[in-house]
This record gives sequence, C-alpha cells and structure tokens, in this order.
Amino acid sequence: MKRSWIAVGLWMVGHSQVHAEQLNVLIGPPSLGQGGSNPVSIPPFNPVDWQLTYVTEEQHEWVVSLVPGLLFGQRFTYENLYAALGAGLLVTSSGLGLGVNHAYGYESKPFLGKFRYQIEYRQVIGVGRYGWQFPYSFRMGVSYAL
Amino acid sequence: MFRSLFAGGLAIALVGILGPDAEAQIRLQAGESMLEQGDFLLAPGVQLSLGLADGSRYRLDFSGRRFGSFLESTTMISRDETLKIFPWPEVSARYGVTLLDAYTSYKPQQGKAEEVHDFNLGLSLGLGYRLWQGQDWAINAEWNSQIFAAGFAFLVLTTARKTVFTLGAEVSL
Repeated sequence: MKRSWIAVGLWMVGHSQVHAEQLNVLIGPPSLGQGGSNPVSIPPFNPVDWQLTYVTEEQHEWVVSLVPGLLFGQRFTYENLYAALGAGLLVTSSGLGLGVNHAYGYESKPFLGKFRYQIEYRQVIGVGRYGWQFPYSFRMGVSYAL
Repeated sequence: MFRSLFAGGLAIALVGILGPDAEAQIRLQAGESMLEQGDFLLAPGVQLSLGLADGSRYRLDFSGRRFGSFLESTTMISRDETLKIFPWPEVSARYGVTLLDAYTSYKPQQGKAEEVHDFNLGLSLGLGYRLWQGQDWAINAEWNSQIFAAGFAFLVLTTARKTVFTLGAEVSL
C-alpha cells in the first residue's frame, strides 16, 4: 500500500511518461441503463453520441460528454494501448451522479501528420439520486496532437 | 451448433490449462460477485478462476435466478491476460475474450416447456486491485467487463455489456 501512494505521488508531480498534448474526438452510442447501447445516430447529429477528451502532456485527461459525463483522470500508456483511471460527474437516464471511471483504448500510428485513429471503451460506476449507475460507452474517432 | 461452439470453447480452455506448456504454479480464486447487464440492476453471482504463472487466467462467472415458471442464468467463460500498464503492483489491467451463454427456460405447470440459449463471443476488459496478500493467499477486488457486439447492429456501434464486480480469495499452489 505504501508503494502505491509513492507511485501516486510520483505521477502527480509529473513523473509519468511524457506524450504530446492531444485532443480526442470520438463518436459512439453510450449505454444509459436501459440495456445495451442504441445505434449511433445517422446522420450523427445526436450530441449524446459524442465525446471530446483533452489530454495534457502529463497524460491528465479531461472528458466532456453528455454520457457518461464530465470526467477527469490519468492515462497510462503501453505501446499503442492506453488505460485511464478517473472520477467525475456522471450523467445517465437516472439523472446526475458522482462516480469513478476507467477506460481502455487503442491509438493507431499517426496519419496525415498529427492524426491517429482511436477506439475506446469507457465505463463509470457511480451513485445518484436513484441508486447505483453503471453507464458505459464504446466509441471510435480520431486524436489530434496539439 | 451453439452447443458445439460452447463445448469447443471449453475444450480450448482445458487444453490451455492442462497442456504441456502450462506452468507448474497455478492460482485458484473463488469469489462472490455482483453482475450488472446494462440495466443498472445488480444480481448476485459467483466467480471461479484459475491463473497460470505466465499471467493468463481462465475465469468462470455465473449468475442465475428462478422466478415463477422462469429460470434464467448467465454463464461466462473468459480467458484473459495481464497488461502491465499501471505503475502499481496492486493494480492490474486484464484483457481477453469471453464466451457467453445467456439461458432462459419457461416450464409452466401445464403446457409446453421452452428454453433458449443465447451464445455470444465478446471482449473482456478488467481492472483488479489486490486488497491483501499473504504468503500463499490474497484477497482481490475486481471489476471485469464483457463487451459483446449486437449482431450486425455492431456496424452502427451497438453493443451489450455485462459487468462483474467480484471480491475473491486467491490461493497459490
């Protein structure tokens, strides 16, 4: 347990692997607690399908989406894969809540200079006014190195 | 056909476990779990797993209930491996594949009984935390998710997900 806290301290002072600052734009239908996810909107104008993520050079991520919500976390990378742990405000058909989240994703090699293809699974466990909530999303998109 | 697929998956798992490449040290885990199937409802279940020294693991998740003339159960067999992505030894990330059998039967007191098995193959993604570790024993908390493509609707990214939260005791042999 002591080693864990030391490791947490290290990444909080910026010891984590340095990567370029990036913006992720992902699309995919979330699950709101009514079974699985619905099909993605066609044309893709439904804002619930979209997710924007800003990732700092220290691999801190800020997630903005209607579902699962507004989240902050830390990314960890292994080759083209990444994992994220975080927490924030979650949004589902049951209303607002607070929760923790984790995500797993894949990023391709760069194309057209600063773009990468990206696929991500993100889920939240949280609690709101009506009890436990477990929204998730499976999204695809691109990341752009800023 | 689906029964054959299920039996095939079991056979693959057993060959992997008992085959000549299997390491001598194994880890057995048994735990209580809660299963969520996309509806925000938690159903009690059990989990059994067998881990090999190379980091691979075979896991059985089961949850079921009977209500009236209906019996429904969810059985998942997964094979996953550890991805060394987190800087803390207590926290683990796992990835693998899952074979699902969602079973429902209806046996009325009068009339024809019916039953259906729905099989699917999905992706398993897990997050684990070692709460306590002794010489041969450990207590683990896990958050495993199984994601399944919803048939051809996966072309529009439609998925189903089953999440299992487990508190398990592990012994190394």
